[in-house]
Amino acid sequence: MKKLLVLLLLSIVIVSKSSYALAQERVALDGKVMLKESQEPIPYAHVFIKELNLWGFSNDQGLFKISGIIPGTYTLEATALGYQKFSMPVTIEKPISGFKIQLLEENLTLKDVTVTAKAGSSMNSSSRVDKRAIEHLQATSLADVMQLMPGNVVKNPSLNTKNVITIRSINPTDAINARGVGLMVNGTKVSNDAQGFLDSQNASSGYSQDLMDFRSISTDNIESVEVLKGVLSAEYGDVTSGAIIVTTKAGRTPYEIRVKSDPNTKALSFGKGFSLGSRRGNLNVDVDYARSFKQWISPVDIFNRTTLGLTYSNVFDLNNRPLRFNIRLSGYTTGNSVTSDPDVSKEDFTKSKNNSATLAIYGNWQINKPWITGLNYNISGSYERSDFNKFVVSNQLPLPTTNSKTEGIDWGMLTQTNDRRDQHIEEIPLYFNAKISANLNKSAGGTLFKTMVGVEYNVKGNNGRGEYYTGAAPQYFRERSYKEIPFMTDISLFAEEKFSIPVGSNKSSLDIMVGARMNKMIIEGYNYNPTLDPRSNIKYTIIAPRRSGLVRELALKGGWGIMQKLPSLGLLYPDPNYEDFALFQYRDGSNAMALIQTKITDNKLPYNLKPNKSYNSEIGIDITLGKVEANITYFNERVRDGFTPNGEFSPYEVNYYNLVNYAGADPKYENGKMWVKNQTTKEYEELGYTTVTEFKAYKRPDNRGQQNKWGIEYDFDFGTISPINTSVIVSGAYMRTKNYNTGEYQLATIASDPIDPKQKLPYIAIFEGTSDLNIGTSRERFSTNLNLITRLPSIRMIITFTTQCIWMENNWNEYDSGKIYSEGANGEPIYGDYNNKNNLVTLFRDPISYKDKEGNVRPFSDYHTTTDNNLKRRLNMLRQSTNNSFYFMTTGFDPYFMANVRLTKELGNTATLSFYANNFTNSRPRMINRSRPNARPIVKNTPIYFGAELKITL
Amino acid sequence: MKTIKISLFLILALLFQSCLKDVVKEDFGQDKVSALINVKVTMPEGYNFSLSGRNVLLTDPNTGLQFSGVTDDSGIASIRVAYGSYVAVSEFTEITEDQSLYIFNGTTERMRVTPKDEKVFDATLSYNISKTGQIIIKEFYYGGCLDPVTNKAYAKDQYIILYNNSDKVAYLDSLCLGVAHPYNAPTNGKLSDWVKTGTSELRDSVPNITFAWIFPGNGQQYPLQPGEEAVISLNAINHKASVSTSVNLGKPGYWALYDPILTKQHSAPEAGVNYVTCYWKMGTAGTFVLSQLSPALFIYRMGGKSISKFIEDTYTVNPTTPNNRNNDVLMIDKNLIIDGIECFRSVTDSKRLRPEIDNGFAMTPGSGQGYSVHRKVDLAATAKAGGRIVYQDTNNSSNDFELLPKASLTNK
Repeated sequence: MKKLLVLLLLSIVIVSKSSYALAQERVALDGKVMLKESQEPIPYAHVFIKELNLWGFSNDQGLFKISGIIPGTYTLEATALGYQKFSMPVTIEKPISGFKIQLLEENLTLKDVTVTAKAGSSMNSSSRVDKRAIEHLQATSLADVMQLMPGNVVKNPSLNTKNVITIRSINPTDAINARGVGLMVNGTKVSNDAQGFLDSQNASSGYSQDLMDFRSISTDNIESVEVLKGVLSAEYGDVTSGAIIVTTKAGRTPYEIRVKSDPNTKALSFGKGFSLGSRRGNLNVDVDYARSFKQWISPVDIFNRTTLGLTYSNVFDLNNRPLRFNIRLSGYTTGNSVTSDPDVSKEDFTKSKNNSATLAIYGNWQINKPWITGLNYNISGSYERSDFNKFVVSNQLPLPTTNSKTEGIDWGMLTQTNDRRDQHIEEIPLYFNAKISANLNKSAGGTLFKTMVGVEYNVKGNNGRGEYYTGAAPQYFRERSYKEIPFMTDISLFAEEKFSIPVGSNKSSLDIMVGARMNKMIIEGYNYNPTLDPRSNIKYTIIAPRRSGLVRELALKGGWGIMQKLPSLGLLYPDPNYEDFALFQYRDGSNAMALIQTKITDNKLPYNLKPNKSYNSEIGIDITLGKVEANITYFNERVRDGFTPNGEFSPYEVNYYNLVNYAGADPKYENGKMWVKNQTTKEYEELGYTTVTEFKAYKRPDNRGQQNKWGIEYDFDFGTISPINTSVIVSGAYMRTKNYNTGEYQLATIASDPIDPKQKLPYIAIFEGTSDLNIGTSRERFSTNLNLITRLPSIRMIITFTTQCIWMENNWNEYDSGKIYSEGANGEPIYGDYNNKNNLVTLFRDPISYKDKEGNVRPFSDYHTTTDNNLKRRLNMLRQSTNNSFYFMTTGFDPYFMANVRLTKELGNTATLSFYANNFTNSRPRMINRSRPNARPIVKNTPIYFGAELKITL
Repeated sequence: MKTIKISLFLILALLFQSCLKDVVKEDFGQDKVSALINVKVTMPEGYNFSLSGRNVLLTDPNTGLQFSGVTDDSGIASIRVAYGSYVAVSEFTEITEDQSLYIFNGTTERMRVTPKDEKVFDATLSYNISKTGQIIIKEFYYGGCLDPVTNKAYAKDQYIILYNNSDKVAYLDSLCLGVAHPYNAPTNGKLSDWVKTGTSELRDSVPNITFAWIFPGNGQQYPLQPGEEAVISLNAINHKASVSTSVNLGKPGYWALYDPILTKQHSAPEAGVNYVTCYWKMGTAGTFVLSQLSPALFIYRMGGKSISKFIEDTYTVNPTTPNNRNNDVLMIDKNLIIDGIECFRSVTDSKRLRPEIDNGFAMTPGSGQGYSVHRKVDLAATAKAGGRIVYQDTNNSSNDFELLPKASLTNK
């Protein structure tokens, strides 16, 4: 694999060198950026040649310069905060000076303000949402923005529960998908992998504790959000589902104050981009405060968020080798507070508090040397401290307990009866990220070569104390500091080559992007081999955009690649397992004692937990027929090595001492034996015992999770119906997902043995895949959003009506063909086809084998052949069964619809008022599940919800 | 003009009234809104007591409506009821000349009377002869109390008192104890999983769920003298030490449902407390679950079988949850059951114990408030017994049990 990478890097260098030999002369473009109406110069505007990644900034006189341009035809773009984006094709064959760029102030007097997601500029599928659209949407957290993505459905905002983001997923809480979503803020990676350790042991179906909570990311300081899907450029690592690229505001802006309100949330924000004077750069300040109630009638569950951001930005050496330099200090504090109903308890409460600070330095340097065109750099470090505190007062039984961390038999303690339990979970995750990439533009024979190579370095760890209690602790609780978990480092090298080849003479072109990313993960206790992700995208523009004809644009594109997501720290270092056995207990008035045996299993995984691996491919077409623009993309993503819980078991032999129920026994434990005073003679005698073998189970993550997903995303822009100033956009998706597990799953019920209840069931079941009756679950959804966007520039208003149509929404259990049976009158298995049927019999699925305490594995067919009644009764405990007649039927609903409205109105130049109402007709149909016509109908659609926002610009 | 108005009004009023009359006659007549249920009572074979004058009570478990009647000479009680779904219950006691006490009780199947059905519904109620055992359940404190300090319910102090209600020595040896499935009485008109197929009548045996207990000894080791009681608890410790409103269950001579391996979440009992042995357990629970709202508890004997044979013969998979081994039960034949108490949280709950065991139900206003259900004293019998308290035992908890605001052991 290493060789392959070296080869790839070499080939890129060779290609670059050869193109260098053929390199043509470079030319420069200079000009002025100004306001269209008044010809006033606009400082700090970003002027950009898209295809070449070359850029310049305007100075205080509005003058800019871009050098190092390979002669050709490109797209020139110019953006400045508060102005509409400027974009036009330019042909630059020789140096041009005095080029005038006229920008328009962005407000609703313009006829073409975008308030929906637009296709982004990357070669893979992407959707871009700009500030205007976020404002029109009135998003409170980044998760809200996702509902603009094709195929996603409207969700009412809530800050009182964790906000998880998935990309191209039907299930909004799908852990495999959510874990694979990468977040980059100004190019800086934001990670959650060094936190969320709790529950990694107790997870029953998949792990979700380590998923990122997007509630802490406010949207008011965001300039744009771009969601990358499909096969991402090699510069993005540690993602499988896609990436969210957030760009925050940097540059001069007026004072901006926003007040947002909906029934559950109130928010206030302030932002301003100060100019520090000519050549001294800009300082952007953004502050946000939000407060949310779970239920507006009751103040017992409250979430608070305060975010603060300071960004200094400047460009040095504007005319020669411009260096763009940004430094951003950002932080947030979020808190959740749940108090009890005062009628129930005066003292109980749950609080959580997160404080975080991030310092990021980022930018790029346009060097314009023959061997390097530019350099991008990103360095960031973040510190977070979270404390979860739960206080519960109750009365408990005095039960045996110990917090011993050594194996052996010893006297323990008893839990407190007046239990004032003050639970804390402290996490202090620390992250460091550095990424540097260099790029080089070359041209040879009309073909444009763009080379990128880079390196990324990540370190993460947690210095928190973990879970601890002041005062009473639960039975058998052990503190485990996260400091014991080593830090994890990963280093990536990535390289990418992009060719743009003109085909024929009619502006047709072929763009090919080939890249690879190598990652090496380093963590104490494990030895990971480097992984290699090849990635490629291709785009064939058959008809370049033109202004006339029936087909005004036609491009085919496709991609294939592998992406990987590293396991989080909590999964690699699960808590050690402490098994405690109260061998003997005695209570004589105030004298209560418990002899406890402790056994410890170090739970460090005996194998490398592999990264989640996703094989992504997509094929798409962009076509413009007359005024109708259409994008249709087919995608296919297969996740392998998903994290799944598995059982691991060890049998323990334990001696339980006989009961002693008379006073004055004075028990003592000496020389590994238990002694008590005889009731009559008062002499010490050795106490007898019963030996019991028990299976103890503990969970371990492994890599058996699989997800197959495919779908078609579509987006049709029908243009504007001029007489009513209304544009029509239809978007949506059909998606289909199958989740299943491979490999062997071990299941022990830990139930009492049905023959001898003192013993645990002596067998473990080994199932293929899952211990369910199904071998996987699938779902599909077909949805369409019809957007009617009416722009009324004369009164500075914009209204969006969105009708959300769910045409199809189905779930089903995957059938294990040939392995499902019902029972005949004499208990004999009747194998048959029970799939897609209403089965009025109890159905069974057997484990493939069972394992006894000695580790012997026998086929489960024994159950059907044995004549040993006891064995049969024991094995019967391991079978899976259902008497749900609809179990193997597809559950689904008839189509249902929901209407939403959004409105933004500008009141002069200072105030903007926005309003939205989700499901404003309050359509909440009670729908019958097709597979269960007699069951209680299910209420569909989200409840009616509305909110308003006022923005004041000074 | 005025007169015209008045007369017009009068005419209208009269018209309206006559219409109303029609309405009453046509739409609200007795036949329209009600039906007649004729309950015929029958004696079990071999008994010859009079069938007339027996009280019959019809209850609609869904609405809580009750109608009662008395049987005539032919043993039929005709009771007019509102439409609904009814169960009839009846019981009576007879003392013969030789002073032996007979208790008869019975329940019908569920009867549905709707406007579409016949106006007269005939039903048969067969009396069962039920036994009055020596050992009875005297008190059942299952709801827990309220801790004034934390303001929260505390129910680790549940207990049961067994009592020798006879004038002869009884023995606790090999007496078994269990709770019936489901843990809480079925509600919303649902029936128990354990009815005879296609009917609403409970099976002839009672499902003992999860834990089954047996007193140690196999003969005359643990005598219970006439008028003597045995206190049985889950956690035989002094609960009063931590919760002031609770009880002390850690006294010598009391009994504990405790097994260091099977009930790991029970407290180890105080020294001097005896242990009831767990002889059968299913599932993963570390604690014997006794509902705080509506348990059904019963005591029984194995009828001479060995424990392993008894388990083998009675072990049954719950037909409605074949996929959940935790709901497997031991089916205890009604003839082996000595006493039982059915507790409801609402009069609309459905029964789990057969009429021979408990033809009614006991009820508390709610859990976590200190209530206890306690058997009433049979004053006549007590007077006759010369001061030894005799408790009422008609195998109907509705009659036999009364509600105590505080558990009887609170002040002991």
